Amino acid sequence: MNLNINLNRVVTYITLKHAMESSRLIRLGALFFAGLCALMFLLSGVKDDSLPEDLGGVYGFGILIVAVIVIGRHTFNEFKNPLTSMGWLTLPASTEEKWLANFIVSFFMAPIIYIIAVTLGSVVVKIIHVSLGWYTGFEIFNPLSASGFDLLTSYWTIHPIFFFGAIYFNKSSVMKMSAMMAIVIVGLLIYTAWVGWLLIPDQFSNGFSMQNGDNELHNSMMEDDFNPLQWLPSWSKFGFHALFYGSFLYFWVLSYLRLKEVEV
Amino acid sequence: MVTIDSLSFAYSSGIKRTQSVFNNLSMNIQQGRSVGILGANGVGKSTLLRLIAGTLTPAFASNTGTLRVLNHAPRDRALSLMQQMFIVPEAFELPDISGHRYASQLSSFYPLFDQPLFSSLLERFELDRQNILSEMSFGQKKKFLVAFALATRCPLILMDEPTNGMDIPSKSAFRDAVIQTQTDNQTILISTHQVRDLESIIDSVVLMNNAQSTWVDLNRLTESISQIQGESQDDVLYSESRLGTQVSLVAAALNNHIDIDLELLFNAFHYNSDGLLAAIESSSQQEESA
Repeated sequence: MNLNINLNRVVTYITLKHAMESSRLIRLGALFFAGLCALMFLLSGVKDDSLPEDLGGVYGFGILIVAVIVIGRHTFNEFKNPLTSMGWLTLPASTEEKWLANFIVSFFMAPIIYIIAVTLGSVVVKIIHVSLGWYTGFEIFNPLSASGFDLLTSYWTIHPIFFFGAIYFNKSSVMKMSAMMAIVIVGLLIYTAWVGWLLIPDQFSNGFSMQNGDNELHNSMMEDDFNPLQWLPSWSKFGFHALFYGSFLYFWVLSYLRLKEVEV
Repeated sequence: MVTIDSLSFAYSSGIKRTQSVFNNLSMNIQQGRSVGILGANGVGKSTLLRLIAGTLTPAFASNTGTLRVLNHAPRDRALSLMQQMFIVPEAFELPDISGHRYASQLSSFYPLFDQPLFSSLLERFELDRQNILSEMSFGQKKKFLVAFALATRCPLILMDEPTNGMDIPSKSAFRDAVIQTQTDNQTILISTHQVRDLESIIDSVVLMNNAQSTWVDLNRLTESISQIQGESQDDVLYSESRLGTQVSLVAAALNNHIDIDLELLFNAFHYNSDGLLAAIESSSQQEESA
């Protein structure tokens, strides 16, 4: 494959795309930041002894919203509007550069901007709390903490599949890809249960898994750091990781191939 | 510049059904030409431009068919081709930013972009570059994009119904702008069904209908057909009444002819394409044999 990538043109493409939508993006960004701050302010004041970790769910929910907006609605959107797609398709930049521009924005810029927004939002909430003298236990979010890294990794985990959906579907791509993934996961669970039933029918017929409190499997699942890979042999752990990260590459390559096929 | 051989195209409208637009289309458009693509609604003028722009995938009636634009297969969307081509679509949307910002951002992708020319064209079209593009009228947006297209200095400029939405003075300004800015190595393809808007701009036409299409050099058209007023003893290809006077196209090179107007030619092709094409071809065959 002959890749034609000029990073300067990629940056220019990103700048152009965002300049074209600057008014909408500023409005959307301001609205999102205000909503995030309001949610953090309300939830942090619910109880006096609440810790910053209690807002982990809010931050996690926020990054999911970012994924829906950025990957679902903003990524590759220049090729979806029939009134603008002709100009973008014939713009002098290679398909690789157009793909990379969308990748950089959705994979790196969006979650990093979100984490910066969460940090700034927590500063704003802290200032409000302190100035009003309501609650002083609220801590400013540290973007370099484990929580910050968790946010990034959770976003990056869902990125490939949503990214492919963004170019494959014209509308409601996140919803369609989520539904597809749900079907695949439910199918895999049913298949796993069926295989388990074939291999260890006694355990299944006794209904051990969720009812027997002494059972090792059940106890392990109840632990916070439950890791189902612990039972697998090392070679199959490697296979699992290869499959997991390989699927990232698979969906990214698929999205590139799909972009080459886009027509007006 | 643009070479088309045995090109076919059909839109999919279901799993198996296809809606054929044209079959076995062949033509060769040379550098420096101003070509009008004329045809009735639905014959595939816009589709042809999209195929040339590389936004649709061509099919070929024979295995040896080709579509080459500036020595590239346009569907590959090669960067070097895209830098040499600009298309003004029939329907488009401009962003919610000023014309100045739009041009400064987009022009960096076109290595030959001529900023002074762009400024003079905006002046000619009576447009203020500080205005927000999305707030402009449709005609103003068209003029803005046409000005940008001409300022790119691309060797190939495609325009799909560029005069739609333009008022009469703007159409005149459009014609002047095209005539004055086109260089010898620049080819302009304009698709339209408003043929009068192209008079004085184009030097050749591609006449298209559902069955066939042909490229006609307007400078040599009078060697095979003539436009006359009043009754004629010659082989009349098409005739219509204008303000009580009969105007006809005849299959003969007459000395007392008047300039062939594009609308009459368009109608002659629409109603008697076989006769018109036969007249043009027989003339060129006679010339070759001589």
